[in-house]
Amino acid sequence: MSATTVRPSAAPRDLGAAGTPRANVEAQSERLTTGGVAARTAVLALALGAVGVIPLLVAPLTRNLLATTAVYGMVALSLNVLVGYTGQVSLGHSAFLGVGAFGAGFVLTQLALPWFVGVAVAVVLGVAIAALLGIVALRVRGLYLALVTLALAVFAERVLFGIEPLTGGGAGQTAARPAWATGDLAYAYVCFAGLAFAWLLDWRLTASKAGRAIRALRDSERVAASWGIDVTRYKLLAFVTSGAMAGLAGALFASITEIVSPITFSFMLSLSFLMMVVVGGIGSRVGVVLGAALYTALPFILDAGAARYGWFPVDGSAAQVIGALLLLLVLVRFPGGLAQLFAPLIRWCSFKPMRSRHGAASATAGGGSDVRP
Amino acid sequence: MSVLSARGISIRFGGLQALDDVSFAVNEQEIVGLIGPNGAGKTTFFNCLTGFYAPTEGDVFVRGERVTDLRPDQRTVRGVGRTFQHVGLVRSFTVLENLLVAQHRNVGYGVASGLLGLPHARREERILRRRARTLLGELDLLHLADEPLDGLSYGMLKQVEVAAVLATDPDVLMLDEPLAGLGPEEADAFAERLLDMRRDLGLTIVVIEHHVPFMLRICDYVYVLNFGQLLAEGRPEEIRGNRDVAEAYLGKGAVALA
Amino acid sequence: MSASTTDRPAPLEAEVDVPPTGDGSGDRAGLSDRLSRSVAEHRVGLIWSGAVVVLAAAMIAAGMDVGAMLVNGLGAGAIYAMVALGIALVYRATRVLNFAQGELGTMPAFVVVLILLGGDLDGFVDPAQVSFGQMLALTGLAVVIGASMAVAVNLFIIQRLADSSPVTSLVATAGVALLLIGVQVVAFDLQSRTFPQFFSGSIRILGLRFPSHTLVIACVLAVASVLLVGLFRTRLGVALLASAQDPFAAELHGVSAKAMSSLAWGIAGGLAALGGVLGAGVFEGITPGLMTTTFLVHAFTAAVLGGIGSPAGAVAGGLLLGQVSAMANTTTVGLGISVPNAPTLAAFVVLLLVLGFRPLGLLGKEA
Repeated sequence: MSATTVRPSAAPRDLGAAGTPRANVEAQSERLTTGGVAARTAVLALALGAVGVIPLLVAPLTRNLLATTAVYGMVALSLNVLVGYTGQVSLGHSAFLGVGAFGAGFVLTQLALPWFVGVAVAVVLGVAIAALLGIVALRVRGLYLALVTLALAVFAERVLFGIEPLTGGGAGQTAARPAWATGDLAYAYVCFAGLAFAWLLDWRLTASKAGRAIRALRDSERVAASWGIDVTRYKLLAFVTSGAMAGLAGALFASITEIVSPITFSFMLSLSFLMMVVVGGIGSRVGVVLGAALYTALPFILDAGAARYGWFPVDGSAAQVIGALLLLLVLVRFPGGLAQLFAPLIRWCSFKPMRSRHGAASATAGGGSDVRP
Repeated sequence: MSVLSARGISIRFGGLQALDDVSFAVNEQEIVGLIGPNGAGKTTFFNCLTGFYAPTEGDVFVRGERVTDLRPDQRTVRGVGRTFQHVGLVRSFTVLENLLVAQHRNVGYGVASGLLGLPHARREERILRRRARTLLGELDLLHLADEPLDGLSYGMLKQVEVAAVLATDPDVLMLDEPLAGLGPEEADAFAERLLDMRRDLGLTIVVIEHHVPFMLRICDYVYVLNFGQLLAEGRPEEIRGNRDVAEAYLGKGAVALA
Repeated sequence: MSASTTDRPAPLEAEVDVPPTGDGSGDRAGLSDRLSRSVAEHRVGLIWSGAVVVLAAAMIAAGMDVGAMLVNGLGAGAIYAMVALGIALVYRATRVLNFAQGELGTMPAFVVVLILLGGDLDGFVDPAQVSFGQMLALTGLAVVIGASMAVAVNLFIIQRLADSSPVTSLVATAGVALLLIGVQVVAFDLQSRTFPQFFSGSIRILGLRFPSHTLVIACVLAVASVLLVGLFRTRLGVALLASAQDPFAAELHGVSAKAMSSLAWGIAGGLAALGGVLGAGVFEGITPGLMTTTFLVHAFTAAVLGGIGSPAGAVAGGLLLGQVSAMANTTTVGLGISVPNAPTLAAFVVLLLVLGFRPLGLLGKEA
């Protein structure tokens, strides 16, 4: 077996060799039939295709809404890395997003550099602010960290984004789209690509040693350290990953309306992001993106309903009331959120057999809405 | 050379002298016991050896290297593996996932390769899974692989914890009350397994346990702590006849341990 | 656990969690003895206050209008203190950081507007037409509404999340705040409505010009604090404190933890309503989410500054933060430095300083 080990020099002792080698260690439960694999692949391809053609089908005026949905989906994924995997709540994601957006705007407009440079700077700024917060998080956690993030959001909104030479002050900062995607349709696909990138990053994180280490830290830093996990390093890695996703989202967000203004990044926006994650299902990739879509689209769905049907009781102005009620309902009654609702489907689609008694507990949907301190 | 040793360890919590000048050494492939009444400082001493507490005075060495200032994870990387008095597992993970994280220090691919999903990282992930299953099989725990932890009994959890520590591939296995929750027959089986592991894997073992017959049976050498001080040390038969030890356990007038 | 004696990056599980501190009053030590002990206990608070005094002296020397600064600081600080006091009470009783403390005040204030408008949402409130008696009655009503809403939040949401982490409860109270703001937006739109004060104009005392409204706020805060201190000395108050300290032990002595937590939430809700009515008076106008957007973060900072869960600390922290904010404003303007929103910057810096160097706050005691 040591021949297949990647690092022969560091190869751990093979415990199987100590006693009688046991043959069938690959459990039955990990196997899928060929038909099962084919069915899942087909369904996923169809779903992906369906999402891909949505921008073509909707009314042209709705394309920017789709772009915003994709960007908020990225922010939800970013927040989920902190809330879902490290168990620390952030009320500062409006600041993360804003720093990315203003950074990109500054580079594009004031420095007149190419679009990709703006994106890169936004990611770097997102990483930087998240790393700073991560350093604070090494010292304080739980409610105190939540307060620091809240103060950061308010500080960014009222002080940082008010510095006129950098952000254009109340008038805002322009941020042009890339020359190859100036149309709403093309730009919506750019934002979809951003969401796909964040999704892949999140998937690889959870599927590799870094994500496992981070989630182990959430439960117990002592145990994680006793298994050789460097607590500081992996906690910072989580914050940095989250910051990179949010910074990228900020850059894409800036060019949807091509103008960035401080008023957009109110600390109340952070609460909306938190609602997306909690209602979507803390710790679940699919869930939080669905949550983001739900909250972004809700006002427009209500408006459309009110315009079309006389009996429709509310319009878009009630979106916040309905959204907040949903949040409270999920917290008190359905801690798993949307992800819990679709758990069997999500499990099936992640190439897992349906037989197992235990749901998607650890693989896809995380530990419910209880944020671990 | 000792695999793990400590010299003159003292630690003070506020006004309480929890450990007072304790020295200790474990040689290659020895099984060393740490006994003493409740509150004698056994777990505190474990925490000093593994880096969870910083002793006020004294030093800890792993194979002669001074590790006193190293963090717990850095000591784990140097081959010191431990269990906790109250089960040290990740409670939101399944048994198998616990064993995957526990192999952390032996994962050959870097964080970046993992994030990029490079082929060698994916290949190694499969190896990690196979290794975790093999290990569970060795300890007759394979049937629990996909179970979440909340369904398991305390005794089961302690066994899974031992499997997880073994997955860190330690040179020194430090067990804090491993028999908790086990019946007499299971305890016997566990004693056999420890002796097997020492032989087959070349492990050095340090164990805290209240169960005196078990300790006298498996240990090559025993340290006795009482009120933070080293009361006695020696081979099991010497400890068995030690008047001070008997008094510490059973009160004044006791002659010898059973 | 004194593992905090180590200085490693992760002395694990050294979570900064502050236990509630019982006010150990009632000892019969001599006055000087008590004074010196009190000085020792509150030395951090004294250092902060001392720093403020020294800075103020420097500013007088630099020719800045320190008198106006003190008055401004008192006006803002008293509202911070009132909101922070509610936050401290709720934290002490249920270990919940109440994000809705601001909106539990804005909502009753909006009800006051609704009544003054006689239900006509397109109307306009003329502050000059509102008599003192009317204002008093409406404030009383607002307090009842605030208290009832707070008790409802406790019973229907907080108590059901009793087994969850404190952060989950924080998210839930944020949900309540968003819900209340949403209701305000639906009912009143985003436009600002005029809001009356008890007294308008200003009074000169000791050569300083005090807006009457500032004095009203300060008086209400003082009366509320005295009433609370009085309450803590009654049987009911002692039961409240005991239940907050150890709900199980209190239950064994026949004190219902649920009732006591509701009492704390109710008082906090009443304080929130007072804050709402007086806070809207500061701006002589009200918009949806007013108390959350203008005062909440400062109030949280004040509560942390005072040692979260300590009512006395919250009041002290609020008043001190009011002065610090006013000072930041006066200094930056005086020195001609252009900082957007200097008071917010000051609050942020204070919060980081406190959490960095003394997470227990001014009146919080060492664990």
